[in-house]
Amino acid sequence: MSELRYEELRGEEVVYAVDRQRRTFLPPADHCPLCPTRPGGEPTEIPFPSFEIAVFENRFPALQAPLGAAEVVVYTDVHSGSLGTLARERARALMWVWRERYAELGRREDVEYVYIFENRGTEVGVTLHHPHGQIYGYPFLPPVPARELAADARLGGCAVCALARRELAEGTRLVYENEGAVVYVPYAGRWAYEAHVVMREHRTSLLACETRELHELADALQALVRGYDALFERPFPYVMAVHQAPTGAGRESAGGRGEDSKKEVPARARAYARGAPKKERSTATDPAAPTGHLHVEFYPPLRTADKLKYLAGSEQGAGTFVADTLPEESAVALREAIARAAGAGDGG
Amino acid sequence: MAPERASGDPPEPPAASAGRAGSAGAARDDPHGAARTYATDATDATDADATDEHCGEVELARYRKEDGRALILYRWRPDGGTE
Repeated sequence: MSELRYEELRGEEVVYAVDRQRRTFLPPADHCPLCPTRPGGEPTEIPFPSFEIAVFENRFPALQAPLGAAEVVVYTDVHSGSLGTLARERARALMWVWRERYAELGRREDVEYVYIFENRGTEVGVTLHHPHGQIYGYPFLPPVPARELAADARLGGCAVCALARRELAEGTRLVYENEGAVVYVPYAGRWAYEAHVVMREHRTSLLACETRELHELADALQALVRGYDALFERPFPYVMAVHQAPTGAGRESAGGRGEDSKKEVPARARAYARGAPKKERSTATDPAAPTGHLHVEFYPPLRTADKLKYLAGSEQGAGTFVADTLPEESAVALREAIARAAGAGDGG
Repeated sequence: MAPERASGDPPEPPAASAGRAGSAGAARDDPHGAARTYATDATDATDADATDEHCGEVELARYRKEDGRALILYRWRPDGGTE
């Protein structure tokens, strides 16, 4: 069982999940726990000979009921590949899976924030190569989404909407767009090839998206990941972070309360619920309340084809990122890479 | 040893391949510490009929692993129904 400790100096929670020291670490392909269980083969986490997308509770959870959740989302039963190489329909299905998990986890009393993410590449600490992502249900509002909501309040409206409008107007950092989503290297991005995939319309979460928009989000995500891989002609490591509205006080926006909301809330969860910076207004009923805006941030650690950006003295000790590249220059390279990847796809 | 369906929502299992009838057999020693939850007979877990559950363009089937953890399998069914 994990333990949460509050670090007073930084004003943030730290999750202690010591069982994760035992988790599977870069097994060979024939021992992959995310592959299907082949007839006569070794049992895996998914006891079926084939599947499309699988979600299961993490065997080595950082968070678990009654104080949060940790799930694994397996994109495919094929061991190799990536989000970018999935068939288009599979990527679109994945958006629905994310949506369903956001709704279900968001209804839980012990989940304040549903965080969908993917770590890709050993450079960011991946321990299993099989294409997959994860979902954490935090029993508190984590600092990064909390800062985004604070930006809403500071700017007097949706900060993501304002920033996207600026990027669309200036155009120099745009790398891809379709009817539903825009992708850009942010004006003050920290990582050399950081990119944000932003819903064009104000959508607080996947639940607020139309089917068409989910498709367009999937298309944009795949275009970006394929572009990343084309940039240096190598699998491109990244952390992918899906940011949506919190599901705490604004849980009506996460699909309404389900039957499970009637269960007894553990004392520890109640304590955290009291202490967490929950929104006091419902995002569903108060348009002026800070809501969040569905967007997906990518943090790639590569600054060249073979050099990593490390978080060192300034970044860790002072909290100030020192970037080695200009977003406008990165955007040019990334835009060209996305075009190359799209051209290769058309030709293939 | 097959995973049990979660109560109340036992929809159709995932698409099975030609090898579906085989048994996965017992788990063997795992030098990598990989997640080995159960030795399972996949056939047992895939033959029950049940009501499908839909979420937009996917349908899902819920299972409960031997150790109590939830497992959900999703299939792309764009014309399969609505939420």
